Amino acid sequence: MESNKKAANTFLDISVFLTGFNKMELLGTGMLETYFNVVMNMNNVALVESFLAESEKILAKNQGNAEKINNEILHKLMPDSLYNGLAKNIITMWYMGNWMNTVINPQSYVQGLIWGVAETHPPGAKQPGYASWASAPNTVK
Amino acid sequence: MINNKTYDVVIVGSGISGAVMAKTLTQAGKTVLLLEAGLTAGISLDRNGDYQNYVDYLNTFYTASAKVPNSPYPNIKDAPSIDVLDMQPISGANSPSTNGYLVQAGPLPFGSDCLRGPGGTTLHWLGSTPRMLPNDFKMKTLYGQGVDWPISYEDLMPYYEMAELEIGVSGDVNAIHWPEASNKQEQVELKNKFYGKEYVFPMEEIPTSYLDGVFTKLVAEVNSKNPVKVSGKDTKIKFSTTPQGRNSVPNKQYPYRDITWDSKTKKLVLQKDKYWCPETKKVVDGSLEEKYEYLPVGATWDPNTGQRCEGNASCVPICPVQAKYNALKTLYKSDGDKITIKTQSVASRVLYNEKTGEVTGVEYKTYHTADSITYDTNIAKGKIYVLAASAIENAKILLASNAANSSDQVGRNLMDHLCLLTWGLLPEKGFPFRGPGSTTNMSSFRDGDFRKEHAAWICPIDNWGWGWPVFSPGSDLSNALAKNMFGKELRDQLADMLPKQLLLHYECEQLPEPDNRVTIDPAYRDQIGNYRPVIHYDASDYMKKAFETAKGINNQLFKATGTQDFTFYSPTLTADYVGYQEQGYNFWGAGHIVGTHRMGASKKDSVVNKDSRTWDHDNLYLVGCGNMPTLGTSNPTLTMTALTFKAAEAILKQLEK
Amino acid sequence: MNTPFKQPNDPKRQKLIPEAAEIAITTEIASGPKKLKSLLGPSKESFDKKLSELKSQLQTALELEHSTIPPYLCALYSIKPGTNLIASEIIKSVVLEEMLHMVMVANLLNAVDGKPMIGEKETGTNNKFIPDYPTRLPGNVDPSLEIDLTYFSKKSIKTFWKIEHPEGGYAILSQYGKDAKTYKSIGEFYEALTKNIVDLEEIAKAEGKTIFTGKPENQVPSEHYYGAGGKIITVYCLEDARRVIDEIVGQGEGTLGSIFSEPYKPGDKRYLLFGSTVEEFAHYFRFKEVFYGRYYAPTDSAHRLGPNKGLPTGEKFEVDWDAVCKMKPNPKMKDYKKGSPLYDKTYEFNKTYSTLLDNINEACNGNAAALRQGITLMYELRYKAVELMNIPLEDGYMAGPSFEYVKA
Repeated sequence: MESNKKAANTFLDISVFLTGFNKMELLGTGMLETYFNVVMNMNNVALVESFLAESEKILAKNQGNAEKINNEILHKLMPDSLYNGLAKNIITMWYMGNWMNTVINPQSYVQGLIWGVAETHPPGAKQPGYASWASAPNTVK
Repeated sequence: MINNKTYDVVIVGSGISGAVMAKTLTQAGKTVLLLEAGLTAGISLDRNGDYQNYVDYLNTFYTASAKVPNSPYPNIKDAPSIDVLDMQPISGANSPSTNGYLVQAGPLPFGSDCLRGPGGTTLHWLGSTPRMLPNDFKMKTLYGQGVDWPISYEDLMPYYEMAELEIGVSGDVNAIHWPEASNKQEQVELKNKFYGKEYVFPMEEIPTSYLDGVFTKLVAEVNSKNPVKVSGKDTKIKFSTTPQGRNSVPNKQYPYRDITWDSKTKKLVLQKDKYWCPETKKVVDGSLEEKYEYLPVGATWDPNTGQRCEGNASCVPICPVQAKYNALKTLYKSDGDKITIKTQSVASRVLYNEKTGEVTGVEYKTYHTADSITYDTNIAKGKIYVLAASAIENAKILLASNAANSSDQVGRNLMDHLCLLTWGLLPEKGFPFRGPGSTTNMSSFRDGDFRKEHAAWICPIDNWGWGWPVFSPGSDLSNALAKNMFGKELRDQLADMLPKQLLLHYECEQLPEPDNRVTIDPAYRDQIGNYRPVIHYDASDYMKKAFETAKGINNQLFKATGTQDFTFYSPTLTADYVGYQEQGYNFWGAGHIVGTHRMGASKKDSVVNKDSRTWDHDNLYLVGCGNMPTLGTSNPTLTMTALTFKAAEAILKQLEK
Repeated sequence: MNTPFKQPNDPKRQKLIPEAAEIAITTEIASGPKKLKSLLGPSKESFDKKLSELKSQLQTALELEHSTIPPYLCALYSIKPGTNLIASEIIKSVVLEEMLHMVMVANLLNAVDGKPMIGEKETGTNNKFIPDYPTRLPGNVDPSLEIDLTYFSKKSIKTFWKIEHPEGGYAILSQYGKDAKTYKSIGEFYEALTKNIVDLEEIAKAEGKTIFTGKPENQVPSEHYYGAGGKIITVYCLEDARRVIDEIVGQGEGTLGSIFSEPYKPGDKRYLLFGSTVEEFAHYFRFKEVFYGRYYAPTDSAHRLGPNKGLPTGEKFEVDWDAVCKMKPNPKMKDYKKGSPLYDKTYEFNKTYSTLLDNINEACNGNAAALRQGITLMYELRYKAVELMNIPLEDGYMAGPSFEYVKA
C-alpha cells in the first residue's frame, strides 16, 4: 500500500536519528519491514500515525540539520510521557531486537545493532572464528 | 509391565557420568539399559533429527528474554529442571518459597541450576576443566575444616588423564600456577609431580583473550610497583590459563588414543596403540596404522563442524557448533548392540530387598508426550544399578526409596561455589563479549593456611562483560535511555563504555555442612507424582569471611589498576544477600552442585565407598558430583568424570568376578 | 545404536574414481621411463619446459578451484537466515571443499618448487585471478547458459551441476590463454595433470632425482585449516601428489564420465554411491539433491539410465525457493557512483575478499599460520555479503557482493 510505504520510509528516516545509525546500516539488518510491522501491531494506530506525522514534520522542517533535528526529537519524541514511550521502544528494537522485554524473533536477536557498537557479535551467532578473541577486533585500525 | 529383561547394568541419567558409564560398560561387552528423563528428540539416532533438534534449541535461545543457562532447553513438567529465574527471597511471608521446581526452605535460596535432559548439564556448562589441588583432598588434616577424602589426588591421577581424553581438554600444563610454589623451579617440580614430566593435554591451550592480556598486564604492574596487601603482607597476584573441554589445535605430543577394559588385569587402561573399533566392536591394535594424531570430536550431527572453538561466546548456555564438549559425544560411542535407551522415562524409586539390601529394580515412569499427566510405570532390572541423575536428583530418588542411608548423609552436605562478583570499567578497552566465557583465572587464593579461617577461591576473568550480575549490554542501553540519550550520543556513549567492561568472579569453596541439604516432603510433588527437592541452605561465616577478604583484595586491585568500580550489592540485585561485619554481599550460585551422597572411608559418615559403591547395597553405585566430600576451587565436572571411570572399573570388576 | 558418522578422511571411505580410470593411470607408468623419455626428447631443456608447463597447469588448477567459489557463495549467502537449512549445509560443504582443494593444489605446486599466486597482489593486473562474471560454459553445453553471481534458485543450482558435470567443465580454462589446449571436462584436465606429474617424476627418478624439490616449510598442514570435508594433504612425494588429485577428483570433479558414456548394467555396484554412511560424494550429485529437494537413497544408482534415472529418490527435505534475497546478478562497483553508500559498502566487501585472497596467498607461500586469520575473514565476508543483500535497489532487486579484486 502506498501510504504504508510512505510510513515505512518515515519510520526508517526517523530511526536514523533515533539510533545514530545511517540508512545503509539500518537496511543492512534486513529488519525494516519486521520492525515497522511490530510498531504498527503493538500500538494504537492513531498513536503511531501521530508519531510518524510529528517525525515527518521535524525532518522536513529542518532539512538535514542534525543539531536542530536532534533538539526537536529530544523535546517532541523522546519523553516517556509522549506516544507511550514509542521513541525509546524503537531504539530498543534496533539495538536489541526486542519489543520492550520480548525478543521479536530469532533474526531480530541476531541483527541487534548493540553488538556492533560493542565491537563484537551477538552471542551464539555471527561467529567470528577461532582465535579471533585473542586480538583486538578487526574494526580497530 | 513390559520387557522383563535383566540387563547387566541399569543406568539412570544420560549426563556425563551416565554417558561415560554407558560407553565404558558397553564397549566392555556388557548390556546396559539407560533411562533418561528428558525428551526423545534430544537423543536422535539420525543426523538430520539431531541437527533439527539442536537448531530448535538455538532458536529458543535466540528468542529467550533472559539468557539463563537452561534457556535453550525444554523444561518439561514431567521432569522439571531448576530455573534460576524462579529464585525468590525467603521471608516470613514466603517460606518456603515454592516458585518453580525447587522448594526453597532457606534461610537462603539455593542459587544454582542443572539440566535434566539428554546430555545433562554438559549442554549448558561453560566447559572449564581444572583439576582439584592435592591439598583439597585433605581439608580436615591440613586445615581442620571439612573432611578428608578417602582417596588422594595421586590415586585419582590416572583417572584424571582418562577424563581429559574423554572430554577432550585444551590447555597448557605449564601455564597452571601452583599457589604454594615460590619460584619457577618449584612450579616445574609441582607440575612434574602432579601432572607428570611428559604429560600434555590432548589439545593446545585455547588462545587467551585480548581482555586477559589487558588485565593481567595491569596486574603485573601492580605486582611490581604497588602490590596488594593481604593481612598486611604484600601479595603478588598470579594467573593460570584455564584448561577446558573445548576444541582447539590438537597437540602433536599427545599420545593417548582410547580407554579400554583389560579383562585380564581387571583395569581400565589409557591406551596409546589400542582402541575400541566401532565397526568390529573389538579392541584392536592401531600401532601398524597411520601415525596416531588426536582428532577433535566435532558436533554430533557432523564431525566437521565444531573442530575448533569459533568464538560464539555463548558457551553458557549453548555452543552452536558443539566445539564445547557435551555428554552426547560420549554416549554415541556406546556399542549400539549392547545399549538400550529409554527416553521420557523418569526414575522414581530404587527397590531393594529389606533383608539382604540387594537392589531388585528401579521403578520408572514413562510419559508419552511432553507435559502429559499420564504415564506408564515399569521396573528396570539389572545385575548392577547406577544412579547418574545429578547430585540433587540422586539424593531425591534415594530418599524417596529410603535407600542407602544408614549414615543419614543422603541429601546432606549440599555444596556449591558461592560467587562474589565484582565489576568495573578498565582504563582502556579490553573488548569483552568475545570468546569462551573465561580463558584465564586468578589462582593465588586456591590454597593456603587461610583455609583454616575462610574459604579458598578461584577467580576467573570473565570474558563476557557485566552480563551476569546486571544483564549488560541490554541494561546499559536501558540506563542510557532512561537519561533520554539517543542517536549518535547514545551510540558513542555505549561504544566508549561497553568495550571497557570487566567482570571478575571470586568463586568461593563451600564446606560440607549437614544442615545444607536436600530433603523430600509429600506435600511437594511434580506433575507425575515424583517428589520435588526441598532445599535447606545457608552461607556460614567461613564463607562470609571469604567474601570480606576477597572484596578487600578486589578493592585494592581495582584501585591500583585504575579500574572504575561499579560493583554494588543489594537485596534486590539477587535473592542471595548476606550481611557480615556491617557490609552486605550478594553471591551467585556457580552451578557446581556437589556433596549430596558423599564418598568416605567409613559407612558411618558417608554414603559410598571409594569405588562409588553404596555401603548399604552391594549392587548399587552412585556417580556424579554428589560423591564429592569437598568441592575445592575447581569446576567439579572433570573430577567427577575421573571418579566415574574409577567406578566403571569397579563395576566391571564386580561383574566379571 | 550406530555411530553414524565416519571421521573425515577415513581411508575406508568409498572412492569415486571408477576402476577404469585408475587402470588408465597405472598403465601409463608401466610402459616405462624409456618410452616417456622418447616422447619428450632427451634434452634437459625439454624436461625443464615440461616441468614449467606443469607448474603453469597447477596454477591454472588453483584458479579453477577458486573460480567456482564466488558463484557458490552468492547462492549460499542469498538464502534467508533460518530457512533452507539443508540446502545451505550442502552448498556450504561444497564451498569448503573447493577451498580445501585450492590449498591442496597450492601444496602440490609448492612441492614441485612452483609458486602459488592467489589473488592479484602478485599476478599483476594482466592476469585476472577472479573471473569476470557472467562467464560462459564451454561449447557442447547450451551456449546461452552463463555462470552468474546471483541468488539461490533452480536456475543457478542447475548451472552449478552443469559446472560439475563430468562432461561439462568450465570455459575458464580458455579465458586464461595459458593453455592452448582446452579440455572437455574438469576431470579430463586433472587426468592430464596427473599424467604429466607421473611422467616427469619417472624421468627424474631414472636419473636419481625427483621433481619434488620444494621447501617443506611451504606446505600448509591441516592444523591451520579445519572444519572442511577432509584433512589437508601435505605433499612431499609422488604418492602424496596422487593422493591430492585423488581427493580432488573423488570429491568434486569426479571422472564420472562413465555414467554418461557407458551403457547401464543393472546392479552395477560402481554406481551405488550413496547412503548415510557415505560422507562425501561428487558435488554434481549434491547439487541434484538440492534441486530436487531429496537425498539420494543408498539403493539409488548414479547412472543416468538406471531405474531411478540417476535422480535422488530418498528422504525429502524442504527447499523454499522464495526465501531468498533476490540479489541483482553480476553487480560491479562501477554500477554505483563513487563515494555513494552502496559503492562504499560494495568496496568494503571486495576489500575483505581481496584481503582474504592475499591471506591465503601468504599462507600458501611459507606462512601457513596466516590461514588462521583467513578463517575469520571468511566469516566477515559472509556478514558483509548478507548486509549488502538486505539493501534494496531501485529496480526491485537487492544489492550484492561483486567479488572484484581491490588493491590494499
